[in-house]
Amino acid sequence: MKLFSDSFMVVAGTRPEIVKMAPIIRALEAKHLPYIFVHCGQHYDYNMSQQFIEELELPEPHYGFKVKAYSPGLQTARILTLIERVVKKEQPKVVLVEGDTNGVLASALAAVKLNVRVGHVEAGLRSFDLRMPEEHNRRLVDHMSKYLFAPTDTARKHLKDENVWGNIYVTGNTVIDAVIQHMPLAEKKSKIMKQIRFRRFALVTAHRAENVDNPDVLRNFVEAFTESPIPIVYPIHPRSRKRLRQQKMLKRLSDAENVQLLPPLGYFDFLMLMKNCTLIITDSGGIQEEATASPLRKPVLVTRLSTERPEAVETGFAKVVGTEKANILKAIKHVLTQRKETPKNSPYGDGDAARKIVGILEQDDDVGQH
Amino acid sequence: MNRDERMKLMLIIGARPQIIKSAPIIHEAQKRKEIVFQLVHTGQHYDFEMSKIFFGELDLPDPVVNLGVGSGTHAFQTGKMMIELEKTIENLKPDMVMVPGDTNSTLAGALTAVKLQVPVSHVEAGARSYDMRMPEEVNRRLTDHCSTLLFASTRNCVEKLREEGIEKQQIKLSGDTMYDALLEHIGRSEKTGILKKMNLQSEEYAVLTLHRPENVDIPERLERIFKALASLRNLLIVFPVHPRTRQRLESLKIMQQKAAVEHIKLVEPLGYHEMLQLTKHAKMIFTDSGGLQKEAFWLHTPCITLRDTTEWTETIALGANVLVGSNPQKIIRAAEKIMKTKKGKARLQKLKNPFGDGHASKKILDFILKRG
Repeated sequence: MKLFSDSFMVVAGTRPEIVKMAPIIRALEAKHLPYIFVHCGQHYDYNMSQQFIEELELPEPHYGFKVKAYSPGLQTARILTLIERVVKKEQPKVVLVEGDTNGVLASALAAVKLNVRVGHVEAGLRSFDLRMPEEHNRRLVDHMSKYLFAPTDTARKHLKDENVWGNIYVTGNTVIDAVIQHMPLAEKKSKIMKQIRFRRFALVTAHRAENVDNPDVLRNFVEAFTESPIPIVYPIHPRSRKRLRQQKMLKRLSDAENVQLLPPLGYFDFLMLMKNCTLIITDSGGIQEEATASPLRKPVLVTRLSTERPEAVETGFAKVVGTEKANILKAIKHVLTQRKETPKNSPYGDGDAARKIVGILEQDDDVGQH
Repeated sequence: MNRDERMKLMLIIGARPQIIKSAPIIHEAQKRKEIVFQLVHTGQHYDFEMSKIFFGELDLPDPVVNLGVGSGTHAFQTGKMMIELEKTIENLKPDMVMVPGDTNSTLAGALTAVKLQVPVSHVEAGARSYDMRMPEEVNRRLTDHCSTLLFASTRNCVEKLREEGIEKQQIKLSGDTMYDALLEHIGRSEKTGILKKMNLQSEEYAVLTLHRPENVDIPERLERIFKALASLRNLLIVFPVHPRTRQRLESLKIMQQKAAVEHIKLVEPLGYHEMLQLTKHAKMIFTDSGGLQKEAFWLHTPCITLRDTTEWTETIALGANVLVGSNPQKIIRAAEKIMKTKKGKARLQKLKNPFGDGHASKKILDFILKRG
C-alpha cells in the first residue's frame, strides 16, 4: 500500500543534501502537499545523519536506507535497487534529488526508468573537470531530469549549452533558504560562542586535498594565520590536523596567541561562527554561497586558485586570493581597513528558492507520467 | 610492439541487437596487433540459445566472461550488471571500455567504467528520439555523456551530440557498424534458402517484428495493431515471434477469429542470415525495432515503424520509413500506399546512404588507436 497518492518524493543522503532539501520539505508541508521523505545514507554515517534530521526539526523520514558499499559501482547499484522499490510502491508524481553524489545519480536513474519525473535541485553546476566523479553525476542527472532547478543564470547557461531535455527554472539556491530558516535554531541550540576567546575574529576552514596535502601551501597557511592582524578561529578537519602534525606545524598553530583551534563542528555551531565572525577564509565551495545569505553577508577570501562559484566573486562577496602567504595577509588587511559593506542581495537568491520550486511543481498541471 | 604496451580494449555486450553491431568491431579488433581484446557478455537477454545462434552465424569468439545477469526490472538489472561489471573491470584492467547501442548493458558498462575512471567509448552515439519514456533513449543519452570517445553513425548524430555540448574532438563520424555487418553477410545469407523453405515469393509478402513492451505488453495497443493488420487481407505477413509474445497474442480477440488473421503467418524467431534474406525480398517491413529500420533502408525495403518516435530520423526524412504508432488508419494507409506502387524498391535504391561506407569498424579502431 502506498502512503499517499500524487506525492512528491524527496530523496536525501548526505548532510549537505539534507540541509538543502530541508527548505523544500518545509515548503511542501506549508502547502499541505503530500510528500515522501526518503533518507538514503551511507552506512558509516547513517545514524549521524538521522540525528541531524532531528536537530533540524524535520519530520521523520518515511523510508530510511543504510547503504553499505565499498566501491562506487556497488554503491550506485545498491541505491538504484532500493530506490526503485520505493518509487514503484509509492508512484510519486516527481522524485526530487539534490546535488551530485552517486546516490543522486542512482535515485534519478531508478525514477526515470519507471517513467517517473525527476526534479534536480541545484542543477547546472559544472566544474568541467571530468576527473571528478561528481561532475559526471551532475551532468547525467541533468540529462535525465524533467525539472532543472538552476540556482543561478550561470547554471542555466550551462544547461542551455548542453541542450538538456527537461525544463530549466532559475530559482536561487535553497542553501540560502536553509541559512535563514536554521539561524534561529542555531541561536537556540548552539553554545559555541561561549568557547570563543575573541570578540572579533576571522573564521577559517581548509579541507581540500590540493591545499592540505601540499606542505608548501600548508606552511603558507600557518604563517598567514599566526601573523594575521585579526585573531583566527579554525575548526580543524581531522585530515588537516593529521597533515599539520606530519609537517610539524600543528604545535606552532595551537601555541599561537591569536589562533583558536576547534574540533570539527556541527552545522549549528558553524552557522553561529559564520554569523559572529568578521570575515571568512575558506577553500570550501558551499561556504562561499552560505556566506552571502542575508543573516550573514560576510566577506570571503577564497584560498584557491579558482572558484566554481563565480557569482560570489562578481557581486563582491568573495575574493580569490590563492595560497601565497603575502596575498592572504594583504587580502585580510584590505578587508579590515576597507570595512566596505557587503552587498545587500545574495546572488544565490533571497531565501525563497524552495517556495519557487514547490510552486513550479504544484502549478505544472500535466505532472505525472511524462 | 612490446606486449605491455598493447591497449586493452573491453567490449561489453548483452542483448541480441548488440551482437550484430559489434561483430565487425570484434573482427577488426582481433586483426590489430596493438590491441588486446576482451569481450564481455552480461547475459542480459534470457534467450541465451538465440544469442548463441547469432554468435555462430557471425563467427564470433566466446566472451572471456559471461556474467549471466538475466532479466529483471530495469533498475534491478542495471544494478546487478554494475556490481558484476565492476569486478570484471577491476580484474581485467582494460585501458578503455567500449559499449555499443542503447541497452541496459550499454548504460551499466558506461557507468561502471566511468566510476572506475576508465575511459568509455560509445558506438552508435548521438542517436536521439527525444522520447524519454523509452528506456533506450535514457540509456543512449546518459552513455553519450559518460563517454570520452563517441562514434556517430550519421552526420545528424554528430550534430545532435554537438548540440548537447560534447566537444568536436571527442566525436568521430564513423558510419554504422550494422551496415558493415550487412555488407559482409548479405552474400552468405543467400544460402539460407529461407524464401523457398517458407514458400514465399520475392516482394509478395511483408515482414512483421514486434518486441517493445509498449506494444507487446499493452493488450489494447496490440489489439489495435493486429486489427489493422487483419484488414490487410491481400498481404501475406510473416511474423517471427518470441514465445512470450505468442502467448500474449493468443489472448487477443482478433486472433480468435482464425479466418480474419489467416494471412498473418507466425513463425519461430529467425537467425541473422535468414532475417536479412526475408527483409531483402519483402515488399515492406512492419517493425518497432531500431535496427530493422536501418536494415530495411539498406536493403531498399520500405519500412512502416509501429512507434510514435524513432532515433533514426534520417530514414524518415528520406521517405524510406514512416511512423504510424499503433494507429490503425495510419497503418492501413501506409501499407496500402506501398502495395500500390511497383517501384518502391527502385526509388529507395536511388537514395544516398547517410550511414557510411561499410568501413565504420575500421574507422572506429583507427580513431581509438590514435586517440585512446
